[in-house]
Amino acid sequence: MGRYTWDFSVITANWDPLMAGLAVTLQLTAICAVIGLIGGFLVCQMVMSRIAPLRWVAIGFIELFRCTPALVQIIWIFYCVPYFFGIFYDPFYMAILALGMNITAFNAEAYRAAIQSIPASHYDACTALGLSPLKKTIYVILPQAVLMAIPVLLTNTIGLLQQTSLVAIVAIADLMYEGKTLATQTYRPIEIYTTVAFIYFALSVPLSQVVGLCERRLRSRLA
Amino acid sequence: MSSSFLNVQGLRKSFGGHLIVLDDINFQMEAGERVVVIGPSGSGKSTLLRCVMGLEKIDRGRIELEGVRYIEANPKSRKDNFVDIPVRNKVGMVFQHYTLFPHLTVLGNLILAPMRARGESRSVATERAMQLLARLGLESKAGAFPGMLSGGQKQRVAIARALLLDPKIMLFDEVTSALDPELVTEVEGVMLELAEQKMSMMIVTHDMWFAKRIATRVIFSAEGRIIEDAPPSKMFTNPSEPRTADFLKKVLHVETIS
Repeated sequence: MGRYTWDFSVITANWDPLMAGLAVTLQLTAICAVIGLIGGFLVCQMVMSRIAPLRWVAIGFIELFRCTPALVQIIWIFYCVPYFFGIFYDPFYMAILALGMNITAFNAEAYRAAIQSIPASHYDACTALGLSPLKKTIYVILPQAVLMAIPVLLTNTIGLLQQTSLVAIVAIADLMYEGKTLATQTYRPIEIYTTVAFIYFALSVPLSQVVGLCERRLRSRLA
Repeated sequence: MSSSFLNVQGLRKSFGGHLIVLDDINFQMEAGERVVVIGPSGSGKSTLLRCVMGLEKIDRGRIELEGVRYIEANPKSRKDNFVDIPVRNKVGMVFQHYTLFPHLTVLGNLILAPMRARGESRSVATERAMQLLARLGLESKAGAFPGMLSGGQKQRVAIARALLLDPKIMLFDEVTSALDPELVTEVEGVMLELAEQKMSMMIVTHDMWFAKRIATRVIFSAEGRIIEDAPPSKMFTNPSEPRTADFLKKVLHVETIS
């Protein structure tokens, strides 16, 4: 290894743009996480619907977003959606659209797996208790599905946090973009990317600890 | 005939149209009767209970409660059965595998349907639930989650959950089959207590001694048909049908050695 002289003063001097970028990253993550939690359940309901066209649309949606790279999705939505559909919002909203649909597809699968693990006898019990299909979904199926899906949903959300860094490619001023800009301005890419990596890491580790905790608690509770 | 409390007429149930599980079942019972259904596995005992509960789509026939038709097949069309839900809701059922909802406490499981299906207020539902739990000696478990209970406690909670809806008739589908032997008595005890209160019941069980104790009537079914229908005193000592005698000989023999 070469003798590299680390100089982290570049970080302290540029703390503000980095934090501004972090704020954008956290906003993107939070908004898309909420979209994914709700949208994922809705798409999952479509996949499990009795109406065939609804199923087809939902399955097509999931496969489209699971089977193409997120980076390609972001670029495609950013460039092609305005061209084909005449829709163009602020880049930040386009990024939310792309990342939100991506996590929706993955969460839909997480919910589906969780719902399928609910024993069929629970559906019978709901009928025997006189709960309507809607009440059954709201009070019995959804809460159990969310509980069982929590570990996977959180894992997906950690993935989402990392994936938000991809939006830097379409010039959204997130943490990664600010880092990239500073790196070219200051000629200190090593300090800057190390710091950026550390920030993503520091944000994700507690989340992944929470996943482990949830899994252990669920296993003892739902046994 | 149609003045019977529960009246099953011409019931036929198949899976996929060819595998016939119940074939032209005609069955009546009066309020306060306790009918135990016995028979070899695959004879359609559980399916009969599930049809009475409205959990299965039937191919033919109709089911009435207190003279009101609440389930009827549409033989001409492939559409769902006719179901009168308010009448069906007078039927309660307890299953083999407890089916308590693991995300809710014992109390939460009990008050869910009274609140969400009947529109009862939380305070009224809670008060009724606590009274019932106290009767069953389970009030200390009100805040526990099902995962923390023994099998016997779970099944007693499941019975309480069904009872809280004031059913006219209770269906018990092999409710002690999944239990460790030492836990069976506590569940059977609750059922015997219900019997004393003249609750109408239909029970599917493999426990012939319990059947003899609780039944006012025993039905032996095989291959989707009712073979014999008799009071327990006759069924267990002097059955008319050779197939019944054959079956009883087999199960009683097996149970004495096990």
